[in-house]
Order: sequence, then structure tokens, then C-alpha cells
Amino acid sequence: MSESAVTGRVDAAHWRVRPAFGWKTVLTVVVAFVLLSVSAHRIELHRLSSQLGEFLQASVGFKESSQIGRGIGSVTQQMYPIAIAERTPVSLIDDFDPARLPLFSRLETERVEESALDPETMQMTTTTVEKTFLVEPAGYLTFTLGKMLETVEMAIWASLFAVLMSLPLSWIAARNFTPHSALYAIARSFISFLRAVPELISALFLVLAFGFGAIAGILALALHSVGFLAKFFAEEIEAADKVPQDAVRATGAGNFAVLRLAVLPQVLPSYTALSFYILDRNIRMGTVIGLVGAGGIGQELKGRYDMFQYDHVATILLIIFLSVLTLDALAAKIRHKLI
Amino acid sequence: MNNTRSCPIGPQAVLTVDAACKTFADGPTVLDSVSLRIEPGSFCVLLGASGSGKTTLLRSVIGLTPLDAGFIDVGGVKLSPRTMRNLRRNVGMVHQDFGLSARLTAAQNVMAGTVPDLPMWRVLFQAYSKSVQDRACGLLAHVGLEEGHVNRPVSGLSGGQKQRVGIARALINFPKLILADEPVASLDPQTAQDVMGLLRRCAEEQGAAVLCSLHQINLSRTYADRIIGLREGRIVFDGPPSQLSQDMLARIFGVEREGFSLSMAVA
Repeated sequence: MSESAVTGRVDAAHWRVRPAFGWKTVLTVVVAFVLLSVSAHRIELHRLSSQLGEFLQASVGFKESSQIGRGIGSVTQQMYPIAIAERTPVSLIDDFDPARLPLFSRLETERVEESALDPETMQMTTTTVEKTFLVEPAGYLTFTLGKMLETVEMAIWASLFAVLMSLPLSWIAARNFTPHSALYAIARSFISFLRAVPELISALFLVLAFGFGAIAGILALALHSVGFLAKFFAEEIEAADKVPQDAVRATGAGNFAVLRLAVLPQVLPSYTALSFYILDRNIRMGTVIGLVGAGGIGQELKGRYDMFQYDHVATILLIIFLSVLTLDALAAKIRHKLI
Repeated sequence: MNNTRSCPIGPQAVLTVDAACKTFADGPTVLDSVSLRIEPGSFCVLLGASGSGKTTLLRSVIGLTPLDAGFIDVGGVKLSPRTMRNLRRNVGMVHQDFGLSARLTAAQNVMAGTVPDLPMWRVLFQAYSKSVQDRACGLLAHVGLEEGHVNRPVSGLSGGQKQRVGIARALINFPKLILADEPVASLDPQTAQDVMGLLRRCAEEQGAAVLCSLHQINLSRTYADRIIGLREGRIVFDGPPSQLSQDMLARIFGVEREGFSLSMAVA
């Protein structure tokens, strides 16, 4: 051995290079394949291939029609043209004053044939009535934009509440600053619980408690966000550089001063980035959360979808996509500036 | 050396360490019954190689590293969990990697030394009184920082400037004892000279004793009144720089690395 150390030569005849794949890898792949096959059978995955095949055959003309084609075709047909104007029968508007119409709107009068059962003759009679509609050329568009704004406002409030709740909670949930180890365990499990409950599910119950509307949505988004923010905030505190903390502690300062003067300046950039990510996420989730009645544009989407008004659905979807894209770009810009 | 082994606590000592022992859970014994006393106004250097226990000794003085056995007495107050925070207020500390909050300004870092006496809201908003602000500015000017740097985040300062801020922070509570843990470890030789000179001058003006850990022999010789040599958690030398012979250096840094260490240190 001493000789080899001097010469730098070692007898390597018995050395073996470890193979890239072992029997464990092969076994894992086989087990995964079996499990996936069972699962595919359970969820009738074969329908996916048969339907796709049918769709492909139909699209090249071998078949008259396919289920997918019919579904997509009918929806897209009804989506175009998208709903921009709003037509409201005047009779449905309370205190309608023809002298003071909303901006850019006009009145349209139509003759409409109305069938009604004559109570005396017990026969259906058709009468022609004049109906007046209030037409707002961009009425539905502005209404939907307002709903989108409501969603964004919901997301902002939810994120604000989440940040304010997460700051003290993360202090308790950081191992090196928690006032007591029991409190640490409680805080950590509380945070995990919040993270484990999806927004849509908590919103279902919050709608029961707070009624339909934005409040339930804000709370649902905020609670789930706390589950994320407090965890990451606490981990940032735990990972912060100890040297400045010791320096502040060496002056005789308590935990609060150490957090404020040595930890917070360090973690502030990542806190800002995390908060912006949560805001970004809450805007996207806020569009969905209305589906269960928790306010914002999702509630409108659900209503129109259930009434098969796909032209309105198209408007809503377009506005959601455009807003999320715009806000994404904006958030990226702000984040870039702040950090 | 013998007189440091059993030292009676007298009112004249600004710091007394008695039979300090520390063993880390999974590591070696870093302090093995260390006893010493520091006279007011003296500039003492703890000299030793890495791992000799210098940092642990300094940290244990203000309770940042709790001792296994032995006790600490600062200015007649024995270190205990009850007295710890009060005791820390009366001791200034200069840290190895500066220990500054990078995103706070130089002035904010210096003023942070006064937070133990402040109500929570003042800490939260960093709302310091005018007298504290004036004193911080005065100290920063005194340690040689330019006006333009006072309100800039310290992350933009050079290493030497950072340690000047560190010294100003250590001075803000009028301490009678300043602990300095390798204050020039990350500085170039010329800046190290400047910072050591500044530390000594400030301590003299303040009338504060300094206990400063170093691994550079020539810096220790230049600035110390008294050198305490540590090796593997024991005091192996204690005396004025003039008594620091080659033999003693060999004892402090280890015989087996004698030639290596000494040539490094003298160079």
C-alpha cells in the first residue's frame, strides 16, 4: 500500500464499475407499469383512445361525425360572436326614466309575438306586443370587467390578510424563535392543515357561513395562502444568517429586536417575492373560486354556463385570460423592481 | 501563568473568567478550565490557532455560548440567565464577519446597539431618539466613516468600512469592556492595521478594556498590552508581548507545525 501511494499506481484488476441500472430500478418500473395498467382499467382510459381515434377519422373524412367534434363544434358555434352588448327589457328595470339613459346607450323597440293562454276560451292566442329594450353597446363587457376587477380586489384583500396573519404565525412556527416548543408544534400543524384544505372546499363551507359573495371567497383564498406563506416565511427565518442575529443579541436585545433588526432585513426580499407570488396565485384561483358562489367573475361564469349562454361564457373566458396575462406581466415587472 | 489559575474576584477586574469549561455535544473540548482576569483599560489579545477556543471563550463571556462549568463575572456582576441581558448592555462586541444587517444603513446598525432599552414600537419603526441619532453620527464620524455613507445600506461598504461601523456599534452603550472576535480576519493587511489601531484608540478614549481574539502574531505584538495564548482550550501563555518568544509561539501554535506557522506569521 505504501508502495502504491508513492508510485501512484494501484492494482485495479478487481475494481468494478457500478451499472447504471440495478434490479431495483427494473423492479420499480415493472411495479409502476402494473399499477398504471390497473388504474387505466379502473378509469376507463381506453375511451380516450377510442374517442380520439374517432375524432381523427372524422377530421380526415372517414367518419361522418365524432363525439369530440360535435361537442367542440356546438360550443364554439354558440360562443361566436361573443357577447359584448347588453339588452335589457325596459319592463325589467326599476324606475326606468327614458329621459336619462346611461352613457352610449339607446332604446330599441321591437314587435314581439307573444303566446298566452286565454283564460276564458282556454285556447292559445298569439298577440303582437311592442317591447322596448335598453341596449348598452358595451354593457356586458364593462359588467364583466367589473366582475374581473372584483376578483382582483378579492385576491388583493386575501393576500393582504394572508401576509398579516403569516408574519406573527411564522415567528411562532420558526424553530429558533418560537416562544415554546408546544406552540411551535401547534403552529406547524395549523399551517399544514390550512395548506391541506383546497380553496374550493373551504369556500363551499364559508359560503354556508358567510353567504354568497366576495367575503367567503376572500377568506377561502386567505386561509389557503396562510398555509403557504407562513410555512415559507418560517423557513426563511430559520435559514437566515446567524451572525447578525448574534450581534444584535450580544447587545442585550430580546427576540423581537433580533427579528426586527437582524432577521427581517435579511428575509424582506424573499418575503416580498413570496407575497407577490401569492397575489398572482390568488388572482388565478379567485377566478375559479366563484364557481361555488364565492364572488367574483367565477360566479358569473358559473351562472352563464348553467344557462347555456356560451357567448357570455366566451366573453368571460377572454377577459380572464387577458387579465391574468396582463397582471402576470405587471407582477413580474414590480417584482423585478423591488428585488 | 500560575496566578491566573486561581483568581479571586476583585472589584478592580473588569472581567473575570473562572474555570470555564465547554465541550460541544459531538465535538472536542474547546475550553478546558480557562481562568483569567482582565484589568480595566487593558488591551488583551487572545492568540491561538483556529479551533483553540478563542471564539467560544469570547461568546461565553456574554452568554451567547453557555458554559458547561465555571463562571463569568463582568464588572462585579456574575453572568446568569437573570443578569445576562443587563450584562450584555455593558459589553460591546465586535464580530468576525462584522455581524451587520446588510440592508440596514450604517447609522441604523450602530443605533441597533441601543435597542434593549427601547419600547417595542420604537424597535419596530426604528424610531431612535435624537440623542441616540446624534451619538451614532458622532461615533461614525469618529471611526472615520464619511457623511455620505451614514445613510447607505452597509452592504455597499468595503470590509474596512464595515468593521468601522461594527466598532461604532460596540461603543454606543459606553461599555467598559469590548470583546472583539477576530475583528480583522477578513481584511487585507493594511486595513487590518488601520482597524486594529482604531479599536485600540477608541477603547483608550472610552477607558474600556478590550479582549480581542487574533491569529496574527505580528498584529498581536503591535497592539496588545498583554497576550493570552490559547491552545486546545487551555491557556498556555499569559504575558506582555515582549515575553512572547519563539518557544512560546511554538507552544501556542503547536510544535509539529512550528516552522510553517512562524514563517506565515512573520511574513
